[in-house]
Amino acid sequence: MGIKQLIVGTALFCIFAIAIVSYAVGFASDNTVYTDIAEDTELSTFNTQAKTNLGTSFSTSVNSSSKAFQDSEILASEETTKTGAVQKSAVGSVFALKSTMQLAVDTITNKIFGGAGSEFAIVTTIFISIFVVIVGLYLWKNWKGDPD
Amino acid sequence: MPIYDTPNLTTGIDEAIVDIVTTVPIFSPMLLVFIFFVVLIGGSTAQRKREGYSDMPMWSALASLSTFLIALAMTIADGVISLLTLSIVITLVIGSGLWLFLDRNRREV
Repeated sequence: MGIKQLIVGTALFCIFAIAIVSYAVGFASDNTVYTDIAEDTELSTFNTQAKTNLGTSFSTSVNSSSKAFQDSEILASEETTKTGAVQKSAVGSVFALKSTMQLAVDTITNKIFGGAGSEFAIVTTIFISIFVVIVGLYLWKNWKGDPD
Repeated sequence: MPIYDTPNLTTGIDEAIVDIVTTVPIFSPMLLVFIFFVVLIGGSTAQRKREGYSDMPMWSALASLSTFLIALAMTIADGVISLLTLSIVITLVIGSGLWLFLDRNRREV
């Protein structure tokens, strides 16, 4: 998974999550439903925060990344740096969406696995641990190649 | 003596479903679980036969989306699906979407 793919994948996930919750809310307001997803505070909060992160933080980060890319230059006979600033700032735009990912994991934990502190918490702990390892491997693959 | 009270069908099929859910509250979650696993196992097995591998993230996303659409239709009638069940289904869609978008290979998005 390259940098472009990581950025696109993360942003697409946020768009996908916003679209799903917005669709459910729109369906509820268009039809006379008895079970309205807008009454679920956790998913409503997730939707609002994901929109803010994607619309504000991510756009700002992408703009600053693009500016860093435009401003960067390698002069004649200058040594090329090991890791370019462009590379770092591009990856930084993914971390603008970190809180959305965290919120998604928290929502999944609370809704599907019963939340922290319950008898089922050991399953949650194992699941989150595996998830963290996989995300770590993806990040490692991003910089250094296939971890296998 | 009947084993169970038969649902009243004179007022429509939806009333019968509401009667069933009132008597057996686990009916609608189990129906959604059934739909989810039919799409997940059916789709992935068919793909494995056809192509030699099964794309589980994609099929979990498709299965949860199918379940989501059925769950949305259930919200129109009163008492068929609870808010908790609906929110779990939506969370499942979000979770499978997270899996799908972080799983893609180098040549596909």
